Amino acid sequence: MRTITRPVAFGAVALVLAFGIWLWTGGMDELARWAAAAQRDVQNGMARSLRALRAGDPAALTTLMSVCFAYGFFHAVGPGHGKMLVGGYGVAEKVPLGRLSIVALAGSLMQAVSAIVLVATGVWLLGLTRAQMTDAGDYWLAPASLAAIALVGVWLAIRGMHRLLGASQRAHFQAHDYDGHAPISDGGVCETCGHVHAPDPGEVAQAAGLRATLALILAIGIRPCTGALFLLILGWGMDLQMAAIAGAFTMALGTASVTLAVAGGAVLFRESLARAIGDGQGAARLASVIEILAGLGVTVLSVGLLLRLL
Amino acid sequence: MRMFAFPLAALLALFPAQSGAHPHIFVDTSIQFLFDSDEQLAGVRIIWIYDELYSLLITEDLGLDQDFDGQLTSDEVEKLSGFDMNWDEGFAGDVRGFSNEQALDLSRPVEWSATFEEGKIITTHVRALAERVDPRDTELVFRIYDPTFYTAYSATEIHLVEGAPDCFAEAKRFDPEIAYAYLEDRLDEAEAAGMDVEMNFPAVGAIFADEVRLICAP
Repeated sequence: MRTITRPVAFGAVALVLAFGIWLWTGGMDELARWAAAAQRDVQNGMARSLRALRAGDPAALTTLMSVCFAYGFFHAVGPGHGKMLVGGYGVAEKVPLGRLSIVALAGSLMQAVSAIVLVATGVWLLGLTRAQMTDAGDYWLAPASLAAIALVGVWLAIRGMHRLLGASQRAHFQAHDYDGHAPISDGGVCETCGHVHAPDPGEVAQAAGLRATLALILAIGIRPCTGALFLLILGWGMDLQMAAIAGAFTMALGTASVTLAVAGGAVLFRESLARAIGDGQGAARLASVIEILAGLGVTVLSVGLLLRLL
Repeated sequence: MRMFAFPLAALLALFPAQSGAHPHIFVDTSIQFLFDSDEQLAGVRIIWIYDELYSLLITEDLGLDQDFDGQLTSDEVEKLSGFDMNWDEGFAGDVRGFSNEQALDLSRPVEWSATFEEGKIITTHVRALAERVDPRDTELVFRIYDPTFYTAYSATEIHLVEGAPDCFAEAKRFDPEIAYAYLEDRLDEAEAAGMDVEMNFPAVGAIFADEVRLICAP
């Protein structure tokens, strides 16, 4: 990203913006329409390749995998707002693409894992029927997922509080001879030595970091996706367990491909914008304004959801 | 802004669960209009052709077609028949008839059958009209949809008229531009209100309804 020249950066910004505008002005509907039509073909293809596989056609495995990837992809392209959240997060926050990608990928894969665990235990240990298993997904695992999310939230809050209290005291007493110290100005910057004593909320959030985010994803991923459940139940019934498990993971990769593309676009936009407007003071201000607007947009959407969830 | 990093990450991770996955089942539908000897509309026969994935789920549930050749024995057909006819009290059958936009009173399903062709389950059932209707006096429209949009019906098949030589049926597909724009708006609203759209999908089905209209020479 550092090597891109300003014209290229302007081009990238324009491109991502144009795509965003297309999405807002009806492109989203068009995409949803296309995805819904494709979903039907993909479902038929999945059934056909499962039957062919069962009939002993090894080439059907390749078909099944591509169909599963397509299923995940169209699933993610279809109606729904998650993509905007990923995009908003990527634009507003200075998250590296790597971390954003891990989050997107882990979320998808975790859902495949929980579908596999549900079907495996459901069939082997409990002898559940299909309806009982999809009900288990809706009525047991969805609330279990919510409970786990709440636990992660509590853990994070406690840890954050510890850090906030512990760090501010420790940092201050260790770094300086207490008597001779100048007063601390707003923002925690020491007036004589110029460095930060108390961690600002940003640092706390950063410290919560990847590990906490992953914990959260795992909690959320407890709830399996319906498509993967259907595939796995069929796989178990038809004695095609391994193919179905591979298919569930491939489906997750298909879903993640969309999220990854959105994450990539968002980070490209953010980096290119920074590059295009250069380093001046006005530029910095503009960047902050964009950051705030993107963040606020996503926050407004999100807080309601989160409140309902927790 | 970093303060928001945690809730934002939470939401971002919700993404796979949130992408509204509806519809799950696809059903091609056709209607046969059944007339009595006085050329009055007496009922409709509904033909449902299920998508192959749903068909496979059902045959697996019932333990049918275990040689996976896409054919059922007559015993198996017997077992399959009626699997989709056990309607809950509130279920309207996903087909609604209107005479001059007044809802017609359709009976619960009778005379049902099921077959299995090329991996697809095809079922039929008849719904009788409580009161017979003269199609020449009134505008008759049947709308085919699942209000919850869990199932997507499409009236793309041929529609037949039995017993009324000067009548024909005409299908009109829903307008995808309007329907999907509407769906996006309802999803936006639901998510802004903090709804989990996968569990409580907005009831958008009606706008995805295909129509079959009965047209008779006066």
